[in-house]
Amino acid sequence: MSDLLIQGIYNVFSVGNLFFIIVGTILGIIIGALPGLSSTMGVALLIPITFKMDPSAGLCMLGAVYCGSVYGGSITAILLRTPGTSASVATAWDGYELTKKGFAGRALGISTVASTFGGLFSAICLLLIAPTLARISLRFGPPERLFLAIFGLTIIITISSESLFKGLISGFFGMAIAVTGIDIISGNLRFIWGQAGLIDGMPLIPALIGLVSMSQAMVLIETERTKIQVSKNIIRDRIMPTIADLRKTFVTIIRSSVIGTIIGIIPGAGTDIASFFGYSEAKRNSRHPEEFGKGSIEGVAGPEAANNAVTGGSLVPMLTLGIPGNSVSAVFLGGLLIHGLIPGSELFTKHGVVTYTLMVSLFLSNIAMCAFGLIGAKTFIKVVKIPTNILSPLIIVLSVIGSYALRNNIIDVVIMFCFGILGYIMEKGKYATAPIILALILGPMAEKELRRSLLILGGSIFPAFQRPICIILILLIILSLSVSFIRTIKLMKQSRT
Amino acid sequence: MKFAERLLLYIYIIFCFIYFTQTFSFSPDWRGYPQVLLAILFILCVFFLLIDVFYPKSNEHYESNIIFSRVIFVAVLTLIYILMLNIVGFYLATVVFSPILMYFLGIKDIRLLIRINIFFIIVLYIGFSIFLGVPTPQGILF
Repeated sequence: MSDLLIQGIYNVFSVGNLFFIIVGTILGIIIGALPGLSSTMGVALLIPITFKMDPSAGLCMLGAVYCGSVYGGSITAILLRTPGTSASVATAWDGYELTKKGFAGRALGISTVASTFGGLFSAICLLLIAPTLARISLRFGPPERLFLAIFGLTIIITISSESLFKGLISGFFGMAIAVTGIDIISGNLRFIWGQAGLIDGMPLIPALIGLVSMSQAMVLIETERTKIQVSKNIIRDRIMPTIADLRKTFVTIIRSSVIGTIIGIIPGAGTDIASFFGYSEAKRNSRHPEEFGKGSIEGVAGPEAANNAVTGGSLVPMLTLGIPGNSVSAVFLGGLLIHGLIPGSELFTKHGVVTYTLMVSLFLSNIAMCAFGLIGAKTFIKVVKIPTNILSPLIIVLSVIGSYALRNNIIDVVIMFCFGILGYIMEKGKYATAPIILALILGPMAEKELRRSLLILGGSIFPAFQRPICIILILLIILSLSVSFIRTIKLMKQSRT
Repeated sequence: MKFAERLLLYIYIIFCFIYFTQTFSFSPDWRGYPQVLLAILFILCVFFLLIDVFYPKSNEHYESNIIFSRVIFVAVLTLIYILMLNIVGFYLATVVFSPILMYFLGIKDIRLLIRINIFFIIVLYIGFSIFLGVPTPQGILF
């Protein structure tokens, strides 16, 4: 491990990787700051670009975009009360109050430091936990991997949708679509409709670009939006945090970093849940809870440290077990797969240099994010002035070229378009797209492991119920579905009264 | 239930029918897997539609500020753009598509339109074709 770590550190400091980390961080902050664009979209649009790069450089760039975009949302949340991403909604509550009082710089400074600390803390946890968990994953046989895939699917279905049934519909649709392609055992071609481009299965990247980016571009154009107005001297005070502010928020930042990392590791929970949790815990433990909502500096630090701490945490189950922690890491997983990197123990042995380079690069991304946040906040705020009627056509063009770039096949662009329309209708019907993305990734894995399990268990799945890890996973599946079922029934009753 | 939600469920039901009929051409030993998935999806969709029939939501609300004609126009224009990619090529198709779409979406300043699009095309060409070497759809001209 130490050799790989040293090699990873050495790799990260190559000129090329440093360049892509810086570019990725800047792009990430801009994407995060622009209301309507999300971290998931940023990573999805950049995956095809990284395809032609060296895997280390490509993954460093994706990691930097992920970190930068989660932080970027706080800039517009604080200055305009328009959170760039859903993860920054809680930041806006106190951040904007501070801006109204003339302390925009103070809020931005503490949000930058809190985000950086949260990101660095989670990167350390990723570096310490992931290799150990990857070794444990070696104990997983086909039945364990089958139930792990089902668990990953159920957890994201139950958390990402407002209703269990809606989540299940999206999940089963994704699973059915994932059957597309050649049957590896019988050689049958399934659901390919005469298209050679579908023989290898439903192309993942075009599908997720459609679901995440194209659909979002359509959401942006559906209304007549006015240009965001930003007053010239919105940041009047200094951005660099004072020692007093750092001392006041120190415990909050540490607590939120731990919360964010743990939430990140739990599959399905994302940055928005972490930031709300970080905010509520900051308020609960504060000496001045009455200041919250009126411009509390702890109210900015709490959610920001928590949402950035999710970044490293969410990569733990993704890199080790192939179960993404949230929708961004699900898309990130697509970035790994296009480079032929399969999550699991091999990622820490055979492809260890690439993996350790990615993990170490998160440290640099967070440091770059801190530097750009403290120095360039005034510049980034100018970017959000780009009107959506310019932005949307550009996103559509980038989605088209991105989906074509991987296989140079126009069918991929058509698939991207179809998933874009589907994603838009889903968005309007309040159906989450994350279960489809995850089902497209985990569906083939579940099918393959089911067939392997049936082969090794003599044609029946029931012997798997005697294996300890399977029992734990089955109990977790039942638990997550039951909790979500009870919540859905309660919500249905409430909506009818 | 919102119109979009109903539309989505109908799309899924049609999808189930079409895909289910296809499964009969699969190997008999493994057609059960997709059939089970499609059957569950079908049941869930019908269940959801039935709930809406028997217990319609009282607090249903619509987003009144959405202009669907814009969405439909953009979808149609994007489809034409995609279909033209292999005929006229990526760069030429983009030079036409992007300004038309921006103009339709409210950018009426022609100079600004030209400037933005020239800048964007140059960035795309340098970034994708030269720097990253990403192939783009080739047409009759470029």
